[in-house]
Amino acid sequence: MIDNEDRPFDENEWTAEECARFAALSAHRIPPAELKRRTVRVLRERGYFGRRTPSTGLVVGGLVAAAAVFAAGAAVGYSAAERKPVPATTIPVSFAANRGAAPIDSIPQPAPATRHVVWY
Amino acid sequence: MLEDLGRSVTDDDLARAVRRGREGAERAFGILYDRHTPRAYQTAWRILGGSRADVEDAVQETWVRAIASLDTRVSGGDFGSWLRSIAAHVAIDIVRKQRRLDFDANVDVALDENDDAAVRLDLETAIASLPNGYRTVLVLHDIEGFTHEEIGERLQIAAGTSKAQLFKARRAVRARLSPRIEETT
Repeated sequence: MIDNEDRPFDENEWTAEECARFAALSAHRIPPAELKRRTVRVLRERGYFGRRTPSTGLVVGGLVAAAAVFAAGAAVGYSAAERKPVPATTIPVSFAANRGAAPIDSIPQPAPATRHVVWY
Repeated sequence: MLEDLGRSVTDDDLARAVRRGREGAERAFGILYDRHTPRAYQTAWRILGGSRADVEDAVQETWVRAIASLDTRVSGGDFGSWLRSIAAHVAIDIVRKQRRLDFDANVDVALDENDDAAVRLDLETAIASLPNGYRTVLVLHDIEGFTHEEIGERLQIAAGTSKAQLFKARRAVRARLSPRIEETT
């Protein structure tokens, strides 16, 4: 080993004072706030936070909208079912009248056969 | 749940919440980020010599790599140390990509002749002002606690080269810490 008596310290090792200065170095440095937002954004874009469930408000809103659509459909269905049909007695009368008139108007009646008799 | 427990939630619990990726993952990540980023940021800052844009890129990439490899992380280990190790890796990658690591250069470690001889730099500034190769080895060995073998593996240099760089780095730091008047007498 080289004799370094004229040197105040071993060049390859820190002195106790230097070690203390190293130990006193701050272990932390506060990053800018924007860095956190930027990092979260990148992680979100890469899908690490992409499996989030929808918010409660969105779920409730969706359920309310679905219930409203269902209720409206049910009301229309009920009103259609409750509508009274036309009385059955009126239909044959009108049909009968029409049925009688239609053939007279539309179908030509064949002329009655004529017999010609010749007397000698 | 995470908000109720606040700061008492362990890093492992938070890491599991982030890994599951369901509701609360982002909140869990936020707590992990707030706990460990200042130290990882400092590590990257020192290795990169205080280049703010590079440091921010390094920290962002550190978290991306960390979250991507949560499955392989040993549960129960020190999350902060694990994260700082990743930060050191990422910072080294950045320095190497920029070809800023030069271990062969015979760098003049003395202060500029025009510097005020009576000015004694603080240790942080002295480290930041070192050439990249010196600074990286010194930070990894003397501050982050890596061995020369680990440094050699990460920097793709021989362990002996790491030792030689550390020797020169320490000498350079001393030159910066000591007043010029002591050097000249």
